[in-house]
Amino acid sequence: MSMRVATVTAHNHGINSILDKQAALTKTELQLATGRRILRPSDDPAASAMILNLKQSIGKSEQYIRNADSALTSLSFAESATEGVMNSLQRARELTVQALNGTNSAENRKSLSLEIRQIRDSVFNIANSRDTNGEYIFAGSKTDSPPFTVPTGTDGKTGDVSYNGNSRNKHIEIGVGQRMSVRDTGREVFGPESFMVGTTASGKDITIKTTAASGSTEQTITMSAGMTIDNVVDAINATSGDSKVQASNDNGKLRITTTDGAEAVLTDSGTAGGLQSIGIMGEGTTKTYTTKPDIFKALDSLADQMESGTMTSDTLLSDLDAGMDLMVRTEAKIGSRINMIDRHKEVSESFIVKMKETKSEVNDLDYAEAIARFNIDKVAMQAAQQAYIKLQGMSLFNYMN
Amino acid sequence: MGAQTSLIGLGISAMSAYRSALAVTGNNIAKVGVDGYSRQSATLDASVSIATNIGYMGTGVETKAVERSYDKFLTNQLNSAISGSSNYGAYHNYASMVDEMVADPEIGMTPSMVSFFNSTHDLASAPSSMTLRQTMFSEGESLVGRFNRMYDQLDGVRTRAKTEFKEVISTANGLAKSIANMNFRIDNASASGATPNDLMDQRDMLVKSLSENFSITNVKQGNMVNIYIGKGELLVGGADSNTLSVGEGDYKDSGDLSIIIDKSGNKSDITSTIKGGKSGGILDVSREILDSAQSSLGRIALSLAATFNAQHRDGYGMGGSSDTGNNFFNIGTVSSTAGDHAVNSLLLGGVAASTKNTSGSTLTISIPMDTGTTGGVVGAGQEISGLTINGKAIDTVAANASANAAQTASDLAAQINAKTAETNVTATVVESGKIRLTSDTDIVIAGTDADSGLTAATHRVSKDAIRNLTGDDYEVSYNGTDYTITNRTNKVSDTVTLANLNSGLIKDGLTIKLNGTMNSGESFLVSATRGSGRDIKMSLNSSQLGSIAASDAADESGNNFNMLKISSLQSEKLMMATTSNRGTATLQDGYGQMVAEVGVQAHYADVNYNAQESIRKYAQTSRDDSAAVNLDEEAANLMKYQQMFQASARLISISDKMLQEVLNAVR
Repeated sequence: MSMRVATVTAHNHGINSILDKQAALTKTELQLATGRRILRPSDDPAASAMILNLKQSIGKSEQYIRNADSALTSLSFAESATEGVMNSLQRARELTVQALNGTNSAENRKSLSLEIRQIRDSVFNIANSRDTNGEYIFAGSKTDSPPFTVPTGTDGKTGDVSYNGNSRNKHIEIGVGQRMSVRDTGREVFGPESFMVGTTASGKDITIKTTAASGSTEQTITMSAGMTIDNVVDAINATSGDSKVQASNDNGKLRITTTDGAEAVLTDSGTAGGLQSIGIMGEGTTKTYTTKPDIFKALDSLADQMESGTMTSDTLLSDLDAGMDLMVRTEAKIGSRINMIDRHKEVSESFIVKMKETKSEVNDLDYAEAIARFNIDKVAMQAAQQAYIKLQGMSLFNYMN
Repeated sequence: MGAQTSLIGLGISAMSAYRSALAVTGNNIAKVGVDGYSRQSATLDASVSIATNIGYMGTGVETKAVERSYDKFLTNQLNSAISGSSNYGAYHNYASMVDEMVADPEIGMTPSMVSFFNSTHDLASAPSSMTLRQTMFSEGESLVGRFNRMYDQLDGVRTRAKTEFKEVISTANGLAKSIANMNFRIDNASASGATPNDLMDQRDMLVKSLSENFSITNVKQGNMVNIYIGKGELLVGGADSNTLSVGEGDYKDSGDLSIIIDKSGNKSDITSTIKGGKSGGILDVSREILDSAQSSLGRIALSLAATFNAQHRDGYGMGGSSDTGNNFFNIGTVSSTAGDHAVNSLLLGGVAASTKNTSGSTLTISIPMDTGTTGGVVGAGQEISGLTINGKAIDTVAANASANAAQTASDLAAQINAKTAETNVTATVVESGKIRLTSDTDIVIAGTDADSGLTAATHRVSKDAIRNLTGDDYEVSYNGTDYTITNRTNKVSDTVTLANLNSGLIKDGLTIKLNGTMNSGESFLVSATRGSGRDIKMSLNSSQLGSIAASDAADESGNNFNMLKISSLQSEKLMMATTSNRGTATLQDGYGQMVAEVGVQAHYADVNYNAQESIRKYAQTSRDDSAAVNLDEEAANLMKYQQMFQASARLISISDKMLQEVLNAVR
């Protein structure tokens, strides 16, 4: 028996093949219009998820660049502030050298003191400078009030400047898990000077003995295995009300400073480990740290002596030099941070370029291929249409009369 | 008409037969466009021969019957192919809607999520800036809005599916009634012995339409067909039909759909037995795509809101020491248990009680809301013994021989840290005598005496819970003997104790707590994250920008440490824990996975639909090629029967001529 095809089947086949070709053409057309290979997740589920992840990575890296820019802005504020202070201190040093010159009269020295007082005021103002967001840049994380104040009741010239900020610097994330301090606290920049005493701690106890104007104290800090640098910092600071010694974590290293111009004596009282292992001294040894006064105090003392007409103290220059050292150190820190941020920015930028390349490899349409496909689909559709028309012309009824 | 052996008689009977054959052919040609029409043919047969003295004489031709070309196998094959193709058609239809929804890279969750976390970074660079606080708040609102809209869009698809489901069932009821009616008419019409071909075609069409709604089995009984659905439920029995209705399953408002058959007042739920057709497709797509997409979306919303809030609550706003413990997002009620180891937990919605429940007991689900720090005070010289953290005994300091040795906070911290690899808990001395335990998994302190300052307690951590959330549905049920928790997705059941359920059982991150006891046969459905995409809202309002907790200490407006921790949540693997309790996916990965899942489902829906459509087309073609009209064939038949008719007419004219010859001869 010969094969029998229903008239309706012939029609359906013709129509269906035209519809199928049309759907293919429409999809290719949409791909060409959007330039995207993947129009819906079902086109390539794995690649769709990957594209979303790439988008997030690009977004995140762009944010890291913005963060880096904001960090650079923060650092540039601090940089210009320290430059200003540095210039002022250089001028103060020249004036001091001039004042120390024996040929100078008491009157001359008195007039020089006026300029020193101005320098101290300008340094004080710089120390309390704010950024575009109104944040005090040398206040640690207490940025809403001036970090440096003079006690009320003094004329502002001779009172000791006190620091109201804290030791927590603003950090900014410039890469995944890469946080960088973008500020320095007023203590670090303007003194009193602090000491980097070591890296990690483990082992036995240390004793911190301080001699301050208010008297001597002795505090024992218990150090034990497994303590982190933060544990040591916390342990030292827990007693700082009495010891006058403050500790901070400076990039994984222990930094100590004394307040009230106190002298700190660190003793490793253990038999093993202890401060020996944090890299400052041998077992059972003792190390003494004498802190230089802060910059304001150094300038005030200078002005006071110039005003008195006689220069008696021989530590004046070295106190000033200590202040300048602080500035140099701060500038160096800022400079190295700027370098590091620039490097991270470059990394983020090239990362974005790579991510975008990958994204376009995954998602972008191969136009040549798509256009070729479009043409093939077009030809196929025309063929289907022609075939349908031809088929419709073939009927036995045409030959009946 | 009596049998005729005469030439004129033969001619007349043949003309009559071929006229009816021509009429049948004409009818075929006329009905070429009628869907489901089976071509008919006149069965021509020799009339009974008459015995004469010279032998049997033929009496010509007669039309025995008009038969339709019908193949039961091909028709049933077509019906089942139609069930399959409408099943995947409906599935494909809704899968594509969801596919399209998550497709557009500009409107999906990713850009909102990236912008939101970018705004937290911006705020971290200048934590006291009101402008940046406003930006972060607005980005938060827009992210929340994105979650809500996506939930609504998915819900919109669900509503359309539900509406279509109701239409499908009501159409099926109408068709069942019509088939029963047609059975009755065919039975009556067949009483004379003839077959009512057109009525049978119509009934076949009704059965075919019914197949679009679900898979059916039809069994012919005399002139009638009986239709069964599911596992042999009688839908049409002879001239009677039963009625189907749409229900909500055991759990009201849970989004479940069910089909209930009413057999003269006897109602039963046959949902689980229904396969194929549009209704089967809608049932499948609701479970496999809509439920799962909504739960996945909700899981991302919940993971974000809970971990974000936990970190945010730890920080401080600009309003001093009391401006802490604030939620940024709102996704449920936070309740606290007081004490040294305060446990804040987030009460979630998503529990549906079975309509069969009678005891009035309630079930609540919650997740912890703390970041994972707890601690205590170790006083100088306090003796510590038998302390275990997360099941691991903490050794006493080696230098101290006595087990109950006096320890300082630092000693203890060091000993706890020596076990960090096993306990996942880190200890730090926060200030003299105070110890802080930190972990991103739950902290269980046990076996210690009260002197140690570390009170025995379980400290649940939000990240631990969030990582373990599955987004699956669970059924908590009691059969009179055992309490059981069943994961509805992978069908894994666990037997649990009542005491455990009453005190709060931890299952895949959720704390499931039963208040009271259940009667036998009672159950609850837990869909913890299904509604979270809808429920996520802002907790802070635009007048509370200062309360955005950027700082980790009070009164430090330039402190951004908490905001840094918040921003880093973006890169943290907060979701989909492995068995070793480590997260494997960030929030973005979670969304990527959801998109990929929808993509895969939609892709296979597409593939299956196309495959099933080809099967249907093939079945339709097979049926049509056997039963539908071919016009060329009919044209040929037309000519054939016309010639036969003409030839028959010639018999009469020859007979007439012969009569004339006879008349002329005798004139």
